[in-house]
Amino acid sequence: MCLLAVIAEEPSYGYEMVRKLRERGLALVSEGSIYPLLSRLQRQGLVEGFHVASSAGPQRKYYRIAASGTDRLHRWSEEWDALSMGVTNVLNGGAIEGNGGRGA
Amino acid sequence: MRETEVAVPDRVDDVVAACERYWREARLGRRTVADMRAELEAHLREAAAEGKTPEDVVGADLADFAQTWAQSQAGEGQPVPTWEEVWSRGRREGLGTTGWLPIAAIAVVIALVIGFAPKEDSMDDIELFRWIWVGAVVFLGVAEMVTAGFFMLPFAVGAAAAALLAWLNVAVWAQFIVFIVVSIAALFGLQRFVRREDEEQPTVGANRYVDKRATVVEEIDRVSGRGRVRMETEDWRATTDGDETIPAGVEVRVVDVRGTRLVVES
Repeated sequence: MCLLAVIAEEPSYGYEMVRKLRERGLALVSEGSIYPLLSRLQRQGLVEGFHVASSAGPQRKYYRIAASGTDRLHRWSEEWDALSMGVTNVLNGGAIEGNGGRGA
Repeated sequence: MRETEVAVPDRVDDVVAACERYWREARLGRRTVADMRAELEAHLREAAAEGKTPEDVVGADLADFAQTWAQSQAGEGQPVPTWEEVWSRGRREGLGTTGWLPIAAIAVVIALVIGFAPKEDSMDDIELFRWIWVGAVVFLGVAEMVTAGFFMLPFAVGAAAAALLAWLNVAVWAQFIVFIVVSIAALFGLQRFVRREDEEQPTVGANRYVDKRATVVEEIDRVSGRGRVRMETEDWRATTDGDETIPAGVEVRVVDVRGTRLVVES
């Protein structure tokens, strides 16, 4: 999901995606494992790959989010919001219902 | 996951070449393999520019990386071969690029002889020799199938070449010359296959390293003398009896020890 979100922000290529994820505090087990993930996203039609000519050498493969990818990301992030709200509530001991001032 | 790890070579070129070879044998498709290779290479080079090794990028097990990516490309329905399967398959493959050289040379020789050798005057002799050569091919061919080893086959090939000349009315003495030349060339050409079969038998003896496993850390090339393997916890200089180079990362088996070198095969 996070990978898809990074791609949704702007089209990117493997190395750059690893860097962005790491900057936001999400390090992959190994960098290379991003490629099987990208491959799966592409096969599921959630992202599209395209080549961009590079001035400094051979062309790079970029990925951009596809329409179905946007929908899926939206659904996943809704589920995540619901989940994290639930977890937070449990940890805080049911704060929403009990006390009027505390926000969700 | 995997029982034995395949070490990741230090050089980007070696890593990329090994992965490309595996992906190609995994039948992912030429375009797909080219894309994957380019993507991997670009990533490794960019990582190297920031001081990272290929192992930092792909992890400790090169085979696991290559297989996982290959499987995700192929999809769940199409299982990919394992890394080990690919390397053992490659060893049994046919002539390779150098094997065609003696065949091309033979073809050139035959063509030249056909073009420049004088034609036979006496048609009786020609008729006779046509059938002599054809008979020889049949006889030698049968003998080859019945006996073990490749001894008859080169001469059968030579006889076939001579037969061709006889049917084209080339002089008898030229036919004999071609027979001898082609037979000798075929004899050498087929040596490669004979030697491979011998290699299957590991040397028997009081050699405590025979049959031990090792992993190539520096590409093994018999001709140039390069090659190192890691066996258990030590690095050894290594060589091989085969003609093909063994790239880094491949798991090999020790078949002999010569001086300070391990002799291995993949």
